[in-house]
Amino acid sequence: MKNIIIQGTITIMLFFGTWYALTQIDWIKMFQIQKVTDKTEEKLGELFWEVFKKTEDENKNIHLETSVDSLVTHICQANDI
Amino acid sequence: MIVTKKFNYEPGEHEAEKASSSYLMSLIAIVVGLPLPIINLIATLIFYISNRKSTYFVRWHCTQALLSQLSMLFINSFGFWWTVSIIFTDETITNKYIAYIIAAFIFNLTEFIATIYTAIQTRKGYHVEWWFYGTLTNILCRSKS
Repeated sequence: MKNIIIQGTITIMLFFGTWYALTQIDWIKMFQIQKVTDKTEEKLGELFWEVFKKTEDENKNIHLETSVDSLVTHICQANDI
Repeated sequence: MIVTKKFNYEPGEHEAEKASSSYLMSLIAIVVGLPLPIINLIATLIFYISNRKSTYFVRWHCTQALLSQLSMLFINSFGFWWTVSIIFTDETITNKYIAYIIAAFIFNLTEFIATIYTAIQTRKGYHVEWWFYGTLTNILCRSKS
């Protein structure tokens, strides 16, 4: 019985040890995940903008643009964007 | 990690085939139900239940196959639901996640190779005991005589 507990503990520790050892490597950097995520975000943004442009009318009124811009700036600053 | 020992008695041809099938069952289930971690456990469980009244050699190997699948279920389920939460919720891919998936993959691969080896050996009539699972099976599965 004692033998089995030792063997079981070693097996569990081996798994968590492997996991811990692997976390020491910077996989995010290695697989360039941040770069891929940024690219996807940019592409999605462009895609949405295209859809909005096609389905809605774009208002280019300068007064409207500045007021919306100031609103967006306030929201972004408050949310640390 | 894997020890080939002498069994209480010499298993017959029919017994060796059935014992080997219990490992094969889990291998086939891994291939068929790959993304879902529970499929191979269910397959080995069904095989185990249907062989409960079988000979000692067959019962022993069915139990070992089932136990090994049971521990893999914990590892794989955690990885599976972590992946699902990344896809469907706000969770993002982190270093910990990638490390976990790689560790789980290494353990699955080891188990996969060990299962193939054991399936071949038991088919030849050899008695193969795994590290930890073999000892655990010796406690759980006893000879009726």
